[in-house]
Amino acid sequence: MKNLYTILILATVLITSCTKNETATPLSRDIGNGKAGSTAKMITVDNHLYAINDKELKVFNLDNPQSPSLVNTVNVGFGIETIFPFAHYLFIGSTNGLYVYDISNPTTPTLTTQEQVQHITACDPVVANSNYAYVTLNSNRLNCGSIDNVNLLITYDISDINNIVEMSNIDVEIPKGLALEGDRLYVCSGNNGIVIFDLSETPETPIQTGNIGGFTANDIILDNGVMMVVCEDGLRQFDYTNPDNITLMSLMDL
Amino acid sequence: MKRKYFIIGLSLLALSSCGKIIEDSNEIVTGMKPVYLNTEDYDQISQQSPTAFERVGKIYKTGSYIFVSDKGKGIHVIDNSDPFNPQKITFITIPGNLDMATRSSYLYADNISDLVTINLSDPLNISVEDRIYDVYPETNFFDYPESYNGPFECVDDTKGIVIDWEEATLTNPKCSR
Repeated sequence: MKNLYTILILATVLITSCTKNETATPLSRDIGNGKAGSTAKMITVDNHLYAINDKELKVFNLDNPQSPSLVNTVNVGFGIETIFPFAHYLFIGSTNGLYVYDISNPTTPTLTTQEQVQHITACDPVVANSNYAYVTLNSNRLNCGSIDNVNLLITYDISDINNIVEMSNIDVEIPKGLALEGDRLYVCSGNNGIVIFDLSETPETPIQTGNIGGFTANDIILDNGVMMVVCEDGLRQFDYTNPDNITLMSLMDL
Repeated sequence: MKRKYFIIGLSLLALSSCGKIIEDSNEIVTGMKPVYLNTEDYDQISQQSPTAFERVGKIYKTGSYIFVSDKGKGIHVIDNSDPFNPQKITFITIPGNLDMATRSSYLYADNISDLVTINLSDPLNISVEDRIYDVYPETNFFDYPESYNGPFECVDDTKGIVIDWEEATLTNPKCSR
């Protein structure tokens, strides 16, 4: 009798444990567009998808999101690498410079400057707010440049989007992805993790105030107080609600 | 007479060894070699239970989900409802994948030359809704091994699409960085 009870209990436990983890939270249709890291080659803005290949910007209409339709192909230039949306602009980073397109008419991106804002040959993600664009240049990756050891953070004044002016360049070790929120700029830098810059006094010349160190970060997303960082060894998340006291929330390295 | 031939012979030998890999050297070294995908299989998209990160790529976030690409392999889907305790829930295999974006419950991803649309309304039961061909005309995704300096086996396009590189013992490799 005792054995039968044991078997019954074991069986119940087994059956109930087998039904775990068979469902996941559905991804809602109402969720909108989400956010990409600064090194993205494709992004969605409202009901359009913008995707870059080596030299073209392709525009897809997403009125039927399950079936995108190609509505425009823009010849941008060679070596285009990253795309970042801000307001009604697309900032496209390339090995030769920064291209800024006006997407007030989402189907027809229009170059705002006569030619791209030139910089020395290097790989460059870019982020921007209403007045400034911040670009990291890194020649350490293969194909990233003919000049050895370019490791810079460049600031451009974009308050007149038709006349973009370089304001400063700062040495940052092997800079990669970056993110901007309020008066802080966060830059992935070599093995230094994330280097933090204060923009409150001199946004045209970011001031380094510290870093969250000890790992190799490649890109970063800021979202409502949670900083998500893709690193060589996995995914780290930090609480940055107080930017002067950033704390680790989790490390997923498996 | 003999001396003249000797000098000619020596000169020819010197000339042939300048700036050229000597064909039959049988030099054996450790290097890298390409891993090929059959060109016909390039569009095979599937999902499986969560896997380890191999080559962490890009990041995208929507709702309570984070997507992390694994360079050239596919996308890790992570439930981030609790950022203190994120959980991988599935891995979507997409050959050659490097980037992704979403709108509503649809995930857009590059798949070698194409752009695919994947329905994620039930992340454990994905379906491919759409494919747009030739959005990415370049197929030289992995012409050479990334972050590597040394000898490697040159890519032979007739063997398929390169989707990865692995360590290998090479005999007289013709390529290097």
